[in-house]
Amino acid sequence: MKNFLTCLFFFFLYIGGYAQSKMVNGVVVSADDGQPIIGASVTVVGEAAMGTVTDIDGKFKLTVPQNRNSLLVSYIGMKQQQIAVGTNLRIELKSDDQQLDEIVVTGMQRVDKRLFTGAASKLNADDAALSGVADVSRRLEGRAAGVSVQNVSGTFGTAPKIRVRGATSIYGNSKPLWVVDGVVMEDALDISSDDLSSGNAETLIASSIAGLNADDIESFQILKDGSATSIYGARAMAGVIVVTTKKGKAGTSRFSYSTELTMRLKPSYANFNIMNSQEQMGIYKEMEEKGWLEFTSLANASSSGVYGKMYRLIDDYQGNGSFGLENTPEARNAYLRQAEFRNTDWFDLLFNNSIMQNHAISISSGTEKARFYGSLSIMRDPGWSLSSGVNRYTANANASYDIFKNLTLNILSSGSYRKQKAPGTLSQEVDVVSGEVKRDFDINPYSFALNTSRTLDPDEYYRRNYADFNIFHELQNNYIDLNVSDVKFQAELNWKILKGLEANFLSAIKYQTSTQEHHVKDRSNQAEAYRAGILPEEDATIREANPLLYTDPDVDGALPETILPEGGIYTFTNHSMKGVDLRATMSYNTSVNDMHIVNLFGGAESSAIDRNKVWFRGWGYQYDNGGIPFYDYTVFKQGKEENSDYYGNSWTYARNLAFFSSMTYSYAGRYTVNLTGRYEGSNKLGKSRSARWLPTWNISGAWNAHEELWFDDLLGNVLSNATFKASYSLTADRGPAFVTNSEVVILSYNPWRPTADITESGLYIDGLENSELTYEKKNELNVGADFGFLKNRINVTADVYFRQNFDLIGLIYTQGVGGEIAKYANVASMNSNGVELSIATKNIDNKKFKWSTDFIFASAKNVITDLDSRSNVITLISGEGYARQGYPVRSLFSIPFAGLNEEGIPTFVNQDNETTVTNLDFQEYENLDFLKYEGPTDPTITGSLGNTFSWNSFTLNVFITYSLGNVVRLDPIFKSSYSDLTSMPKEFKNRWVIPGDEEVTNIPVIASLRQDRNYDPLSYAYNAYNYSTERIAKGDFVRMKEISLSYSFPKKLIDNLKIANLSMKLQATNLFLLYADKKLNGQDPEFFNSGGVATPMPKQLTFTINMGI
Amino acid sequence: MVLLSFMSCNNFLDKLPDNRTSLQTADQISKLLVSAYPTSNISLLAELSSDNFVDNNSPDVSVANNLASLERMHDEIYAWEEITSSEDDSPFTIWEECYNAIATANHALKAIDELEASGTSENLAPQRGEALLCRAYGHFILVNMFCQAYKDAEASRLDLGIPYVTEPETLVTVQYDRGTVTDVYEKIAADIEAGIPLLGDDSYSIPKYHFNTQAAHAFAARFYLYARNYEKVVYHAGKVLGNNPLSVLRDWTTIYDNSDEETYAYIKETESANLLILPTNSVFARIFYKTRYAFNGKAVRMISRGGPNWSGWPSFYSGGWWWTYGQEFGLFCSKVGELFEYTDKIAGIGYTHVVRTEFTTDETLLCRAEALLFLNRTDEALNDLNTWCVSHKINKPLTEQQILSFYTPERINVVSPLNSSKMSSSFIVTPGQEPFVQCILHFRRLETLFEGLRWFDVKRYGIEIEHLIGANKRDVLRWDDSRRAIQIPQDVLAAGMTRNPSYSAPSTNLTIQPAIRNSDE
Repeated sequence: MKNFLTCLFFFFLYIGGYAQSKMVNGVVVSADDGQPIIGASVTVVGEAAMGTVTDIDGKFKLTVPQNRNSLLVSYIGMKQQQIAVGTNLRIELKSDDQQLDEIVVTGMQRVDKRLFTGAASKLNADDAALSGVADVSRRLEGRAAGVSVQNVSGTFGTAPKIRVRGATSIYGNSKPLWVVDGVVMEDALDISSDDLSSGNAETLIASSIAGLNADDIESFQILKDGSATSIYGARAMAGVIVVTTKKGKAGTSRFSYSTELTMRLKPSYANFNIMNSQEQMGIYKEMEEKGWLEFTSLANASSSGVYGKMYRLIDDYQGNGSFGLENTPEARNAYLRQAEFRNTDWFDLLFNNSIMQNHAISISSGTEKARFYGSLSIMRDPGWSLSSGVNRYTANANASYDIFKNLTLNILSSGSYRKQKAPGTLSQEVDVVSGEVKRDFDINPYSFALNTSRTLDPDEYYRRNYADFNIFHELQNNYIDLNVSDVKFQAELNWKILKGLEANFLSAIKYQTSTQEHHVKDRSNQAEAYRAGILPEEDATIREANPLLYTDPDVDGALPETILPEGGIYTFTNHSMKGVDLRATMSYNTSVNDMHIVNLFGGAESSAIDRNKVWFRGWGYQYDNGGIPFYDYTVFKQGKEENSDYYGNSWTYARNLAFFSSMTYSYAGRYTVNLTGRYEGSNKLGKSRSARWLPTWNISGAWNAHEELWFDDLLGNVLSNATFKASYSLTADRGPAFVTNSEVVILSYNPWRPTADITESGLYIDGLENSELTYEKKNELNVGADFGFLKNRINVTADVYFRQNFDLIGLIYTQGVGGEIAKYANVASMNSNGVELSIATKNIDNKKFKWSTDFIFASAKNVITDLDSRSNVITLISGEGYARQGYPVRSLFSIPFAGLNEEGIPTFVNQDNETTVTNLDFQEYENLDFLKYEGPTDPTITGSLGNTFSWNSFTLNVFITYSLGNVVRLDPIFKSSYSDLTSMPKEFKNRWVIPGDEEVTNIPVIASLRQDRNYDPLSYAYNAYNYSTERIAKGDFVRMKEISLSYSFPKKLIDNLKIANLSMKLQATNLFLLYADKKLNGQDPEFFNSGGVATPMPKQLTFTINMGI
Repeated sequence: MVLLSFMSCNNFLDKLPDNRTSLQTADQISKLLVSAYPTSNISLLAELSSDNFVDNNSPDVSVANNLASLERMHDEIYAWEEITSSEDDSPFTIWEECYNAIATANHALKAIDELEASGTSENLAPQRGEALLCRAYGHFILVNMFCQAYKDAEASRLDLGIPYVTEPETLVTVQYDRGTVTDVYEKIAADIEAGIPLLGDDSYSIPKYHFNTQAAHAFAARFYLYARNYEKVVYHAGKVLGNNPLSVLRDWTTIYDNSDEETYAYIKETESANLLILPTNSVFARIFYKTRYAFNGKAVRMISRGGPNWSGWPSFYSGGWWWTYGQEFGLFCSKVGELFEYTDKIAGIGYTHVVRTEFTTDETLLCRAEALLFLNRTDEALNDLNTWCVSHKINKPLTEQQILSFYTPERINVVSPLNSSKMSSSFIVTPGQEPFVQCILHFRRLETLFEGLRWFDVKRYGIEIEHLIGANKRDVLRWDDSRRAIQIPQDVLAAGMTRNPSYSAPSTNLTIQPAIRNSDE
């Protein structure tokens, strides 16, 4: 009613002023692209109450009193202009970098920032230009409030763990939705966010973003609250990251070239507290005294280092009464002395400083009718460590053509190809009994360098898995070749049917295929391990002990035989993904009486994603002999008996359909109300028609206080703009990929049978019907405000949100009479809340010298309010933590350490509240209260501080990121018995040595053989120590992420060379940690050292040249 | 228009999300029934609860004390406490696996009903028969494990049963009523009777891993023995054993070189004695490797002190006894050998299996002997017992006189007082029958060693057993002890299932006193 009255008021004003007025009209366009500006405000200078806003075509009409001669045209993000009154005016507004950006791109719509009611952060590509980091998703670290990027592995192709406003699910992924040019990016492989840190070979294809060339990106828009994401409703619970790539612009022609040369520093022992070989040898001597490293146990041990080698030399008869090494104390000491002074620098040998190059060229051009952008890029990375390296090529073409004035066709195709090499690796496995995370045959150079004794001779072969082992030989003979290609074809038709009414059709086809070939060559340790004891020479002891040999159950008295008499093992894995997206939308924008702005938007979309995995393992492939397979039939016989497959082919199909609409009403751009709804259907929840459809919605509003007529007079001196927003929404996600049982899930399997001749294939119930299965949901209340102080010299954005996540998939324990006691169902819920703050200031803004500061702070906390959690001890204390009611989603617990006993062996408080050495049950489910809660493993506070100084053409950028509030489990380095292969950290210097030491140290003794036998099993105690309150550190860190110095050549210098712009930049990335818990001792709090293909983010120096013609 | 578009939408979304399948053909239903057999193993729970196992740490056993139990759960089982664990061999897995097998059978039955209603031309009778037997069998294990033994139709109406499920579950949480033991037994009988005539052995590719006709009759024989319907036992056992039982019994004379070989030989599907073979996920075999509880010392004496027609060590196991860490630390027969299934060969990770020979002709023969005895066909019973002796390398014939003179109350290692008449007024063992019953129980104990059936015999006859626990605890399981019904798994109780009567207030007083050294003779 009030609005209606205001309308009337303006109407009378209009009528009343008619007699002595003049008519003014015109169009307001953007100087950048000539596009009309919608909603620009046009006011009469001297008559503050008299004004209008431009319509959908940027046009305005205004009646101006005769005595007034100028108009003020303004628009957020544009420099305001004062012009003389006239008719058919054309006003070009230039963008004002000092102001906020004017458009919010949601991937489906371009929304006028004034009418946008949600919480979103926009990043121009330049703002997130972290040179030398080819994967653009990593560039978001610290750039937007509420977006946390954890580089759990730095290897190219692996994805960082990205969270927008923290976790939204317990078992689900909480991974944000990536939308590139309006199309949802789908990962070729649905890797859960926990598995991102596993180091398994699959993680190399985890990042769908890795195929994107950073130079092609125009901007990122991160949609955070329900209002921003609600158009994606049932897929957007964990936030949306919208990427817009570059397009050609009318009236410009441009050729750009950029190159990045990056040198990565080798890791150094100086940064880790690892013993040198003298210290290490001292420990070995102690171990020898304590009954370890004996001839009998070591000469035929599965794995051994210096001592084992020495014993084998002593045993090696070379004829003429001489041996490889004389068995005298003198000869032995001489041999060991060599090792003592060896001090092998594994980091130096396994890493190199080779230069990674990234070159990109692009051309862009445009006329009134057609616009084009095309680019090519080449990245060549010879590899930071041995046996790694990436070559990546990308191409991108984006053309648009105005077929008619009101009909535009946009075609976009992009492709990338990547060839990568990585050290051979198998998947990691958890031994639930001892609690050890294992990866057999691991040759990851980083973890090898960290974990391998510096007493070893790098040119020598030691023993692993009963076979000869040398890391350099192994890296050459055991590696993974990865080929990833990725194409996308996209067409978009935009039809302006009538004034304000626009239709848009989009279709896209995506195809990605990645081939992973794991080569285990003939002479590699991994292949030789399958014949150790038989070949190259027979050894009855090893033959009996080697678990990789095969004993035929059908032959009486059979001896262990090898299944791999010749050749190596070739494993081929192919993941492919095909996606088809279709979308049709319609929008209607109008303004009534120039004051009532109404935007209506609606549409439908469908997507169909088919994923396929094919794998095959070829035994006995003879790499050395022309690649002819020579396999033994026992491979298949054993496989049949052990129920293991040698190939597989599996498919998953995702189908989504959605209808959505959004209505926005704004009064003069001051008061805006938005309603958005989406109705989503998915096949993920099975065939049940009740489960598959879900409506989601949002209601939100914004108040642009600075649009109020009183604002300038009242606050104009201090505040240049002020916006307040609030939204309440329901968004959702489909929950973890493994829960799809809205109807009974029946899968096929091959049940295990004792012998090969009685196998049969069958079907089994993988999941009972859950007719109540539904999406995971989230209600969110977001309240935010944007302020610009002192002519936007200071910009502050703040958001507070409260979330209730409900219907989350959690475990529930039922009576089990239906066939399953523990079920995954929508039974869990959690609450979360957070605060986000961004402050951007221009501290000094002279012609010559400029200094600006960006400060970003975000806190996100969550607590599980409802979960029938029944996790056991091992899951609560290890790795990434686990979900428990009353605690955060990923919370980590510790076994309470109770000091060393009088023998120097660690003791603990166990589930029965007794102090014990070995009476610990890692499988305990019931009594968990004895565990100490340490904290969440996800940081609760993240952010950054960036300072940019520019003086003339020089710019210095210092960028610091920080992350606080989480805990980190220290590397599990303690064992009840050590081999002569492992390196030890310097903590061991403070270990318990003589009785009484337990008063002053908490580092346990190196157990003697006698102690190992007395305490059964002593390994429990040492494993428990690894997971005790002693072995935990704060994950807080402050990182010097980037320091860069750039220089832009002044125009007059380069004009002669016909160059439009030329700049150079030198950047240092990940230089050091300004702060980290001392207990970490060099362990990177972000990085999960899980072996396999995982490596940390290196320290690197990048030199960049950008040139435009 | 909207309706039309929604219908096509639903078709679009009907695409199954992965390689899952639905039941459309007889062949698919047959394949589903491959998983209608529980993969849990009752042996560990039943053997540790019974008098077959002893505590190596109790003073009675002359071995070094302080052996660790393999799992904490084993201490709970042996002390007849409520079990909290959910690992392999726990009540949790038995409950879940049996009900899972039942659910699988119910899904098969539902699919059969739907296919038949849709007028399929395929013959689904064999599948229906197998599904009914699987359903009956799953409930049979559950009722014997988690309830008091069947007494008679009246008395067992007072004992809590377990839910008898005939429909697939479709909701997340469903509350079930336990009913009574009598209810369960009646429904098992109905399913067996309906199922057996439908079976067709031709429909199986590996018959010994399914309810083939012979296995089904053997199951029926054991079921009716427990239900004390002796005529039916004789009928069904006859179907299994034929006219010349000796020709289908196990040949115990073969001696093998190592335990692996005997394991494979014992569970061979070509062995005529094996009627139904069930692979299970179990670590039971590891209990024999120097752990706290074992079949040793005193337990060995239970069977090594001769029989009515042999003396000393029973000769039929002679080639098959293996022990580790010295005999006193545990003796086992390699019929429970552990077999390993690799899920990842290179990483050496996988599942441990123990294969159960669930029904054998040898055991069916003893069922018939018991039934014949109670039908007062003592001569025929004796005949069956003699056949058993012959096949088990006991060359001296067994006479009635030997039985009467051997199975006397003084022979406490093999003879335990029966309390059957206290359990049911109709379960009278006459003094004349008792030595025969003791003989059959003795033979059954030897025959089914490590298979868990001794526990059911202990329950059926109300035999009181004692466990010496640790240094100074002695506990007796009285004939009417509530702990004879193993407590329902903790998680299931937490979800609202009715408890078995509380252990903290047992129906009779427990005798817990310093252990006394048990006399050997």
